[in-house]
Amino acid sequence: MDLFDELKELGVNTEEGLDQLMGNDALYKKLLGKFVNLMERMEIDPNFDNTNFADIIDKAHAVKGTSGNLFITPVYESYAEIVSLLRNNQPEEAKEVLLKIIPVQNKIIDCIKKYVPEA
Amino acid sequence: MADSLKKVLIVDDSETDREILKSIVGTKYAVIEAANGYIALEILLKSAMQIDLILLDVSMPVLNGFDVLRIMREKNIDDIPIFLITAEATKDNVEKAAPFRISEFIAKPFDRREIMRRLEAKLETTSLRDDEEFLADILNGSLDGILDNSQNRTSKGMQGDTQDFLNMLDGLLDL
Repeated sequence: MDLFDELKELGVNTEEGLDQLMGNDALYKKLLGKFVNLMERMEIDPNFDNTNFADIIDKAHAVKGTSGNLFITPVYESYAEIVSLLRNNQPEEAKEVLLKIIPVQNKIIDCIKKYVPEA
Repeated sequence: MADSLKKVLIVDDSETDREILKSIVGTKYAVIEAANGYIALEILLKSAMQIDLILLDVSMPVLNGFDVLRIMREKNIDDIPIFLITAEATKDNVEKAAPFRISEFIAKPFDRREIMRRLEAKLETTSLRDDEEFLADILNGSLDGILDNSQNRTSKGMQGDTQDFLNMLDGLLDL
């Protein structure tokens, strides 16, 4: 098992991710490391304020964009839903999605950290 | 050789997205990166660099993509094709983009083949147009010269040689 095998088991579409970068696995690893940094900067507290969540939309939007481009599919799909729910003024529903994805994203982050020391 | 490559300016605050776009676009074109709208405008307004196409992200802090477009228009920079990068082609984004000359919308997540297909189509069209304009300039300049020469000869009482003139015109049309 290597990084890509383990990520694949966690639902990351590593084949598409590598294809996006024309098979450049060193670059893919580097960008996965940057994704971990991004997740740390954009961490969302699931107890966010239901009446003022503009900054939560911005954070979720940033995670959605980067996870989508790196084919971290479970994270991308959940954050796309979170952005959509928040824009539709449904914070409680967004929190439910967030609570479900947090353990999955933590596993993905731990996996990347195991193989990418600079992450 | 690098100087002859078309130059694409990538404007995106996400380092990851810039890296991905650079890896895609850099296979065929020279890439210049700007991490925000200010840097992009500095490059466009102050550097002597000729940019052939801009990939411009909509969602950027402080100076977003639409702010950059507005300032470009105010400064009369309106001859560079712009591909607007957006995670969502929402009605709002499309409406905001309507007053500007946007060549294409690029959706996130990126599809590298689609990006390159559109980029090549745009840059090759621009290239062909430039070539046509260049040839038209040569042709117009040459014809002006021929007409001037013919007028000079007539004014000096020398009748122009019609066959020579036709030969020269044939030569020009072969260009």
